[in-house]
Amino acid sequence: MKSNRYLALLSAVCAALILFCSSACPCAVAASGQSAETLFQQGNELYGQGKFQEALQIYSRIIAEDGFSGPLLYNLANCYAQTGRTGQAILNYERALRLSPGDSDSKGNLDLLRKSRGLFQEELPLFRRLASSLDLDQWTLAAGLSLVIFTLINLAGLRLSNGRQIRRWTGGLCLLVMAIASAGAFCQYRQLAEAVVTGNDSRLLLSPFPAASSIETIQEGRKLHYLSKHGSYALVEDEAGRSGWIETNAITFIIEPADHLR
Amino acid sequence: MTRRRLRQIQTRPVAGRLFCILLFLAVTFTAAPRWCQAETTVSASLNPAQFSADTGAALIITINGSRSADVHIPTVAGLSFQGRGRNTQMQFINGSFSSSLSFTYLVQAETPGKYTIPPIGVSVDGNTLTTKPITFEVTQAGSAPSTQGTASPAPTRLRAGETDKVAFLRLSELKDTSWTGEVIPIRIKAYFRQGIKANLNALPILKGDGFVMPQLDQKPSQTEEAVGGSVYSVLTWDSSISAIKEGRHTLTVELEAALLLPHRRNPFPGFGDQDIFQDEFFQNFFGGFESKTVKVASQPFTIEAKQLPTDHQPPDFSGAVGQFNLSAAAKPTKVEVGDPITLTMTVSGKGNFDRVEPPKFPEDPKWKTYPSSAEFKQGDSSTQGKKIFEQAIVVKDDHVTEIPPVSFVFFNPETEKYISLTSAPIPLSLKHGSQEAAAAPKSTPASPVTTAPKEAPGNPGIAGLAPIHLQMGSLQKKIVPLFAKRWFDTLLSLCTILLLSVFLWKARLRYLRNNPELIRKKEMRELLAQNMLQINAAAGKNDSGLYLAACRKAMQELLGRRWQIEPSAITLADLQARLDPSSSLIAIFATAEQGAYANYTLSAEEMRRYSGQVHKELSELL
Repeated sequence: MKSNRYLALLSAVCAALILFCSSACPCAVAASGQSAETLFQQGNELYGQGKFQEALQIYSRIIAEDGFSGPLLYNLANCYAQTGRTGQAILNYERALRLSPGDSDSKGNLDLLRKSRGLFQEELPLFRRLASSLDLDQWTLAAGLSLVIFTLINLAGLRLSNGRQIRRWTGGLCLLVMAIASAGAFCQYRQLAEAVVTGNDSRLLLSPFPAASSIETIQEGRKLHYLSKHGSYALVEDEAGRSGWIETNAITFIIEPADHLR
Repeated sequence: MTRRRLRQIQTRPVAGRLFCILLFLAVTFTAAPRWCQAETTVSASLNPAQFSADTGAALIITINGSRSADVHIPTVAGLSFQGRGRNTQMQFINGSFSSSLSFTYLVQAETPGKYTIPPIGVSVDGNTLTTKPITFEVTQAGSAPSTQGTASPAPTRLRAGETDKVAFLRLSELKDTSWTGEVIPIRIKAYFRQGIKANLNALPILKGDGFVMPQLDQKPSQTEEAVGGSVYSVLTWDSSISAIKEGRHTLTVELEAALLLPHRRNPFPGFGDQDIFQDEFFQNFFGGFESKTVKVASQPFTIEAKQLPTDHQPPDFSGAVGQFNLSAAAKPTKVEVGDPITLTMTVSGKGNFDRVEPPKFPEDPKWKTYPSSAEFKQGDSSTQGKKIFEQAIVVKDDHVTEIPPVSFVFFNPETEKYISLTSAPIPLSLKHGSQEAAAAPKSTPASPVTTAPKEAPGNPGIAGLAPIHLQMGSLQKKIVPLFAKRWFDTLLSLCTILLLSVFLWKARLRYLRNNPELIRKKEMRELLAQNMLQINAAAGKNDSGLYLAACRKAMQELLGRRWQIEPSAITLADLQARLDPSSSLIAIFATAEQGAYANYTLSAEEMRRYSGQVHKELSELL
């Protein structure tokens, strides 16, 4: 009887916590103006008429004036894809997926675009594949929620004498999830320094100078991992693990980096 | 421990060993067919190829790809063959396994002259293979052999610093000067003396500044060469180097390898001059191998890298250095205005293809162009090949009659001049359709870069995209990772503090549970505090009877708890028996007992004094 009461209490606290998280999340409270909504609908109409360049300009205007959302970035990426600007299209699909990780349209279009442009991704080792099954925010949220539930279980243990076995198992499960999610988040931390090649016919150079020998030509739309910077060149690593220098204006970060990375 | 648990513990190492054995067998049997399928070759070499009649030469017949064979030595007039044993060798170089078997014979001639050993038959797995004939010369007894030999493989002279080496590196002849960006072919040959088992720890690397060498092939070609009278296994890589910095640079190529060198046994005394254990069989059987990691380096070489001339450098020059040709083709050539055309431009030749940029399509308002894709196809050598660019172009004017020529600029290091290549214009046949047809293309461009345009003219769009989203959702100014959001950090900090508090609280409870004396003292302190309140309350009312009763009760309760006696059972006699005779508690207790039966009055001063004494002494007893 007491154990049921404990479970009911725990469920209520979890529900309250989720409510708190969702209400406290700044993304949920961001206001969107009426003009942005009108412009968005105009952009959609132009896209429907096949006027991709005009739609692209309208979506870009909304982003510049009011900010962005997952669907807006997705529509913008579609415009870029339709106008043949692969790098910008992939960049915006990636950004849309950062905001809406579960969006199957963004995932599907990104895969289709990569396939059609020959941007096949390198086979990742098993642990990297497992880590990339969720993105950084999802792993972080899983680890955070586990910590919160673990805390609540421990707090409940101070007052409740019954249901010790359930508490112990739940606590152990939380710790396991927390450990796995922390490891996943650690692996996905490199997402913060990911960039997409947006320049056409860019080259990886051996050293950060214009006259340096070229290692390879890197295709527009390729995802790179930023390592460091020297002058107007960035040291990057591609998906195959090759590293080299590339002009900073040929790449765009998926998540705008901190000042020291700019 | 239960029997089942014991059985588990005993079974674990056995299972582990069984797993290792199975793994070994699996690896062995997986690899075995590849060893067996290796092509079997036979070769014979005579070393030295010229010798005097009073000496002899070693005839080595090597069978690669098999571990058993029968050699049929032919009879040659004037020559004698004495068997000197056989040697089986297995090599595992850089993941590539090879096995070989060699038979050694001492060849001696009765008289000087020219001889030919006819093809020697070798039976391998039911097949008979033959070696090439070997022609050699035998000189007069006592004469020194000349350096010219005709035996196969051709002997090579050892260079300075290579004498007595079991392994060394040689490079092909390189030019003394080079232009920055120019690709110089290089051949790297690593020699390992036959009989030495070697494992390559890494591929050869170029040491020195100013030049770079691309990644070498993981599978070099393997041959055999006789150098200075010894037979060497040779690994050969064909690659190129190119200068990235002007100046005079001294370079060398290094290779790290682990050599398995045989231990030589000391001669066993008592068997005359010929030590039985010097025999090849016993050397292999009893003698072990010693692994030695060595760095084999080539002779250093110096190249002067010159900067490309800046005078008359065309503005379109992208850094391509070498000898190139340009060709261009277009498909389709019969189009309407607005139709996409795939322009294929091929730059072929030899040079630094990584710096070859797409040929430039002239800027013309009559044409709309899209970015090109590139594909490189390597030729016979690492510096030769062709780079194919495909570009989607769309004609916008119905008066266009040809696709304009494209141009490509490179620097030719031989003529030391910049060359500008221009393709021939491609005739174009425009079908004059309706205006609507001009506005919307009908066909799909052949270019892999540009797939079916949807509706807008010349759009290199992509078919099959999921439709756009109709709801915009909430807008935000920037993407902030969850862990950087303040509310999330606050929540986590709160949880951490709560968790720490819970753990500290639990630790305190556990500590108290493990120390009952502390709990008892705490209870006693609380009891004393309660009783002192009652005493002080009675003192405040100035009621001597109530005050003395409170003092008596306090002493009984605390001493009863201390002595593990029922409090009401404690009498003056107990106090006198257990407490120090000088304790003021005895006198106060006696006064309180008297006060219980007779009316006893205390002054306020006495009450204050008694309270202080009771509190002090009872506190000391805790």
